[in-house]
Amino acid sequence: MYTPHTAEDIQKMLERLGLESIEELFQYIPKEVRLDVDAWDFPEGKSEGEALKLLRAIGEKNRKLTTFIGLGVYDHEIPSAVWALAGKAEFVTSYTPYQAEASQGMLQAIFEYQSMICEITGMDVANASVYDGATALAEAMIMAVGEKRKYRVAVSEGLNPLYREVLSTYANAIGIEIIWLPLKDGRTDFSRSTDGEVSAFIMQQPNFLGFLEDTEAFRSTKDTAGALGVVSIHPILNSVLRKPSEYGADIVCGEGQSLGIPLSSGGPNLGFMAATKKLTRKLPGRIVGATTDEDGRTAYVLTLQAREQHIRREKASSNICTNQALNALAATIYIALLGPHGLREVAHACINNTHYLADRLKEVGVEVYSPAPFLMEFPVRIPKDRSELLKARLLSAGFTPPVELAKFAMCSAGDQDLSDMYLLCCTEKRTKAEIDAFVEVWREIYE
Amino acid sequence: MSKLIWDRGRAGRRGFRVAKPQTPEVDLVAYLGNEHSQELLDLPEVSELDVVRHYTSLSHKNFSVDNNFYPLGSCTMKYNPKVNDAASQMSEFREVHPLAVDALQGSLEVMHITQEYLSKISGMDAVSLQPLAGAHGELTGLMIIQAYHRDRGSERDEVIVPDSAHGTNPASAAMCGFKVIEVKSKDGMVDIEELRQKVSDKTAALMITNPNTLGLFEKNICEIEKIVHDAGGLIYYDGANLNALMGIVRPGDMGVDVMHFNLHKTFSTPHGGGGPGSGPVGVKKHLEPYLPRPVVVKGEDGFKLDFDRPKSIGKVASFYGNFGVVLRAFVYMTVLGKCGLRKASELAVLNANYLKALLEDVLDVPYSEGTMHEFVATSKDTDLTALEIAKSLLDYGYHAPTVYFPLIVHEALMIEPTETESPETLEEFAETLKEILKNPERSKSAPHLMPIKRADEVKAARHPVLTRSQIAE
Repeated sequence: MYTPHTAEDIQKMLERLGLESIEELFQYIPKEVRLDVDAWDFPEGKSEGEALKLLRAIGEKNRKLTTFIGLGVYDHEIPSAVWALAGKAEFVTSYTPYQAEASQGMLQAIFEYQSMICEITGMDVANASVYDGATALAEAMIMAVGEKRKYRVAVSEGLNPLYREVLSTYANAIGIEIIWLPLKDGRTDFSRSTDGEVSAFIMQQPNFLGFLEDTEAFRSTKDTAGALGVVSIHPILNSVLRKPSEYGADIVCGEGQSLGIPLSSGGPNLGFMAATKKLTRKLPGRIVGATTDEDGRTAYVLTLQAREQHIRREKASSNICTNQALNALAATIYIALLGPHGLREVAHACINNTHYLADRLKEVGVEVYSPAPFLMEFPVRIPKDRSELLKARLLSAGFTPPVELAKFAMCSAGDQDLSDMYLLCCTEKRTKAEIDAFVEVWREIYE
Repeated sequence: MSKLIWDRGRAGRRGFRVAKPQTPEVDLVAYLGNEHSQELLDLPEVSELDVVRHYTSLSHKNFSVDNNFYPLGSCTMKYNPKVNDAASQMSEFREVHPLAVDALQGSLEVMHITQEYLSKISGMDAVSLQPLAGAHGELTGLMIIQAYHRDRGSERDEVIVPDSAHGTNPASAAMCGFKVIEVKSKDGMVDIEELRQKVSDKTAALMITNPNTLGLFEKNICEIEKIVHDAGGLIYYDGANLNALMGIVRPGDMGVDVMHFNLHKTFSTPHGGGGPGSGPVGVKKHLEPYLPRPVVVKGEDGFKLDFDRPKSIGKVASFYGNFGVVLRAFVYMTVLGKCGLRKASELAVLNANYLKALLEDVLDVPYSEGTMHEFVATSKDTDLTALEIAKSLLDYGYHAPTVYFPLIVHEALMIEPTETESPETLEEFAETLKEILKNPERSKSAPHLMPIKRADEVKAARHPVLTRSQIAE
């Protein structure tokens, strides 16, 4: 078990304390609020074997499906070395590296992580991670408002609908007004008026439908408005796209789950954030910097802590403390293993597979909505009289049904009707045979 | 100097082979036009063995619970059982996409049972696992409080925070748009008279940590509860120190309206070098409608995600929480059960009191009566600063205690041994501390045996070097 104390140990310790029983240590708790343990309805403990057996039985109720959906998290290949290394207990069971001399390993890894994120985004500085892609965007919105001091932001409806909900939750609590920019022909309509000044224009590249946004329109709109540009990106796809720094982004963030982190029923994921040098002191969370020790050797430390809650309390740039450090380490290892060529190869394979899937579905009569270039995801329209049967058939054949967009609280395709729209995705992990088998199910329904 | 991963590589070297393309190549230059980039990123080009050697070598430069006693106050660095890791690696849970809702019954069941367990441990009526860390739980809890007051047409905009609170408390309140009102401590407890003066019809909530950051149980909790509730405010409970209370007393029975749990403290999930953690929120019945959406509920034909929550504050994260962390906590609670949980808290408190007694001749503990799971000593009557003691301990293979917190104790050393350490470990630690205090000269320049000597933090902040490309500048 996890407590080493023998009965003699406890006796010896109590004697040292001059106590008769452990109970005396709790004498300061008012009697009237004490828990009646005998009446406490909590199950008895189990052996390790029993617990695992129980868990396996519950786990079997999950269904193993071949994944053809994304929308924020993606079923990519994970090299074995990623978790063989990130899973080492020296990393896993360490705390936040406040004691630099005893934490050089984690600190250096995070320094490498920040360097990689800056290289991918084209930004100058990155933090050591936040919770997930959605909260990264919420923090970016707060940064922008803090910098520009206008409690209004213009946000593209091309944002992941889940991110839209999280952004709204934060904005509602803080008192930030969001002006939504609808989609037109699959892309954000940046010509839409914002009826006054905004702190930032916020968009996602590619947008949630999988379409590429017009980055020049984004740039000219935010420049004309004198607002900051905030972009949420997919870190792998971005390796074949213009860096956000090239089209005027001031803050770049996103979901890093694609970088070697398992789907794990929804978390833990990895929020990454990077910004221009000018915004360094507005960044939330931890940042690692390089310095020297007393002997002049390179040393890594947590730095610029005057932004953080443990120093600044209510004046901090954010309340974040615990972040997603271990997943940032996994992402660092993933990026190192893949390298610049590997990342591009994965991006290409995702795009190729997705286009193959779209073409095959069109062949069998499925209506694919593609008014703009798409990368790893695309929408299809499924007639109401077919959707239930299709879903049932796909499930029984071992595939994920497409994501029904109408079920999200905040989701819009602009000028398009969303009620029969579904989203599909294909990563590099899907083989041609899997795609063909998936399409075969559709063919049976559509013929 | 230790090399960065880039420095281990050569152009053209590869660490992972991506499967050969099986589907037709899309001509990206033609298809993406201006949005396409041919530029190769400046990322490491290394072999798998380069990567393995590099990160294995970094792992050796890191203290961890598996290697070192880690009495870091407020952080509950208890042992992280290996069965939890085994559970989190089960492919049944690990490979499921969160939006494949038809495939999630097992994961939802784990979430539902975990919610129930946390509810029983805390005495709260409903729990949401969505918040992704302690501070995220605080923010979520405050949003719930805000929504509750707004719903009743009330403009309450002040949150009262004791001066001994964690920095996240005032930061979370401010982030949520509240005005932070500080209440001082008196004899290590919330000053009741000052609290009485500071509550008003503007008070949205009091945030309280109990045991507080001095490791003491706020024995006037019933009176505090009455003062705040009578003024129309709510009680927010910071669950950072729940490790002292499992099976002993429940926040819900102390009048708490909303709280968060730190699964990475109390429930043995690892800290991962700073995260991921998990910060579930528990509420009483009257706040349940405001919980983040969706809520995991048990229906007639299995578990489901209930999105139909009109009064919900909305979503605070993409999905349903840090599931991999939740899974570990679920296994921990399942294995320990009723008796094990209570025993964990009892021994956490016994260990802290024992260690405090072992150190009583050499370190003063200003607020000492009623120590629970941790205590705050001061080095101000010794020849060393708290920082010097902290750095010296590293040379002996001990992680340092939390230093200079809470702010109300000068030269603070906040020590939390947790229940998983043996009395021998505590005795050896106490002897080492005495040894350090006896030889102050050597300690002033410690550490001597770590991979680096003391790092120049001032230089790091004045001339920030935050990426590889900035090293050259």
